[in-house]
Amino acid sequence: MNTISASLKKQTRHVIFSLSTVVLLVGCSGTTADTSKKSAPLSDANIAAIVVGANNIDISAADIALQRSKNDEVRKFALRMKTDHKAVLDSAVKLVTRLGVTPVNNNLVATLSKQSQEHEAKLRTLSGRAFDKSYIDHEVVYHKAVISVIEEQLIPSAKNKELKDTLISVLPAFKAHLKHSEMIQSQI
Amino acid sequence: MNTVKQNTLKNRYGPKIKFLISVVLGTILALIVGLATSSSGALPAPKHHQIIISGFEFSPKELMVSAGDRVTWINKDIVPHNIALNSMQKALSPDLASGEKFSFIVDNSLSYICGLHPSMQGKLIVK
Repeated sequence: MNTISASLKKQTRHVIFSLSTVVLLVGCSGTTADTSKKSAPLSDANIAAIVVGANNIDISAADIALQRSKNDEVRKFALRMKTDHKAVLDSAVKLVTRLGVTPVNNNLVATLSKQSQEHEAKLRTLSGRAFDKSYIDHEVVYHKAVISVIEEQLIPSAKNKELKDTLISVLPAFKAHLKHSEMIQSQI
Repeated sequence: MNTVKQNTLKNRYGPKIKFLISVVLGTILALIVGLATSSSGALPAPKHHQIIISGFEFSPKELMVSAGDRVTWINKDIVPHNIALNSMQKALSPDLASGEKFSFIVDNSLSYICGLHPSMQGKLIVK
């Protein structure tokens, strides 16, 4: 169990970069269809890594927002992202640990992880409205991308029924977060 | 001879008469009770309704209730939710962790949201 948890932690950071890449691809292309065409078939181990990584990405961004934003609505949103994604993450880790699935990254990780690092680095240089706008704009794009990846790739690819059910059950959280981020986006 | 006839009639119609008397008395009693209830203006007993919070939705989203009814929200999601008045963004309930409940006596119709996830909306409509 400890070995699996340690492996999860080790690989999570890599997956963060992988999913950020997917987000950026979606953001650049303006469509989510390209992501499904470019990705190789996913195993349950890949899916586990992506789910863990997807939640960690948003927790990491929320931490930066909580450090840098002075906007009450942005801070409340960031706190919500941190709390909710932590709950989803804990649930996912518990499941894959119980299933004995060791997360495995796919090929996107090594190639495009740099873009995710750049986004966080950019956030760390911004403040005030510029920071809030950059953070929230990215949250909107990010959640759209994650929803698309879950619906079009992860759920259809999942072989284990419990994993598939978990993916279906976390979708509403990402959709609610997307609507919330769009509400704030319209106010900034 | 007359006594025999009377006994025969009594035997023949006795049960029917008793039945008719029972029906008449029952009807009168029901009318009295009904009149007493309506004249005192007594309302039906308050009901208890449940709203399940699951998949980032309130279910049912709209609920018809009577003034004085109790509504209980039960959070079955793995993340916290609360109940806040839509008009004022004011939380009616504390944050409800997974599995927690919150009850409220309804006086008026109201629209509400989850203050933590504002896209979640619900409505209580007082009949």
